[in-house]
Amino acid sequence: MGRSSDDLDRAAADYVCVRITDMAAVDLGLVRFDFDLTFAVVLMHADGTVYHRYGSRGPASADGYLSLSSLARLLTDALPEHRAYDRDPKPPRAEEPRPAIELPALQRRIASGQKIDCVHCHTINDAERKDGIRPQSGHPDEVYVFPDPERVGLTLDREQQNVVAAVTPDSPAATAGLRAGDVLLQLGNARILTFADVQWQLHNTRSGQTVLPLSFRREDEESSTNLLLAADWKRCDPADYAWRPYKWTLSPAPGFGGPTLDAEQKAKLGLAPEQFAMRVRYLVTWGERAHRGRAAAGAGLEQCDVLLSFAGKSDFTSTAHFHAWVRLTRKADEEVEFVVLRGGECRRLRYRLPR
Amino acid sequence: MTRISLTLASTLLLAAPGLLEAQKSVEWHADLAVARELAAKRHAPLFAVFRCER
Repeated sequence: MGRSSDDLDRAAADYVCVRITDMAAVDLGLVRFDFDLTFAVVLMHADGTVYHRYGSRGPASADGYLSLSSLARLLTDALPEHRAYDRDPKPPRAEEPRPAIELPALQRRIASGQKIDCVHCHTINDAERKDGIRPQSGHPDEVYVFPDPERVGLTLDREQQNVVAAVTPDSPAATAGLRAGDVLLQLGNARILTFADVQWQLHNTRSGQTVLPLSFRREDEESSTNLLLAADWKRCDPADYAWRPYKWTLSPAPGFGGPTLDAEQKAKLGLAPEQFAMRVRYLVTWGERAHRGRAAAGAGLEQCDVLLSFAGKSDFTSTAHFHAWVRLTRKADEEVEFVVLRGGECRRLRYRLPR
Repeated sequence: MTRISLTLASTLLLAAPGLLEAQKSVEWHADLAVARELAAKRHAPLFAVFRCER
């Protein structure tokens, strides 16, 4: 690992390094990445041209796609691209800077007397969605932000992140003729070096049926092909989406939440260890979303109830999964029945799912 | 100009548990605008790390 560290130090020496822990002053017209992440890297020219992004995660692990060695490789591989661009730069059109702290939703919070010590990355998503900032097409599937490359059938190598490790049979990547060992060169109009580069391109590709051009190298030969993407290509299992803070920005929502019970707590209630059981710790009775908690209370839900199933589903793997599933698969105002345990007795409650 | 000096590893270690210790010191800036000015002057690319400490 020492070697990887040395490699990274050496590679970073050619760069001006900046570390941002508060997005307040960051110009959102200049720098964008997957704001659900707690760690992201952007390699860019001083004029704002972004070369590459790095930093991604899968549903199971926050750092499954991160390593010192892959980051060192990226810094080294991106350098010639910078040198070529810097000889003949084409700066993006200058726009009025848009610091994150000036987002209207954050300004309203400040005006109401709230103190914002730090603008977290994920709060930008919430603030932008509240005011309909940066909508793309309005397609409902655009809530599936930063699709995993596996959505198009590509499993990428963790270390050499532009190398195809595996191709899912019958996927768009398979249909396009890609194979393990192929090196991605370009996707859409962007050069690809990382998993995050692929995600960025997928994120900015329209939802619904479409075609995405791709070029790759196999041995010494370069080829071009197209990914043929089906109407629902951006969608994923809510369990894979559950880690995203972005889910909190979505509607409808149950209006309550809490921790899941551990095996011992379940046993005391006579529940099987694999049974989903979530203790209702709170009803959302505050702020601009208080109507959601009122709807749940109106259905008869009480704090300390134990949720066992919702809309007929009882195999949630976590509270986050429950929330992601409701938000991604249910419709506002839909009549929903849910089952709670209270005082050893199961109760069926019903309400219209609040938006 | 605000500057912080941390080992690259300590910066990244804070970022993700899987990113490990490095030995040498790298000069880190904390202001993107300042870093951009410097990068323009040096004709160097920017390595911008965004680390949320929520």
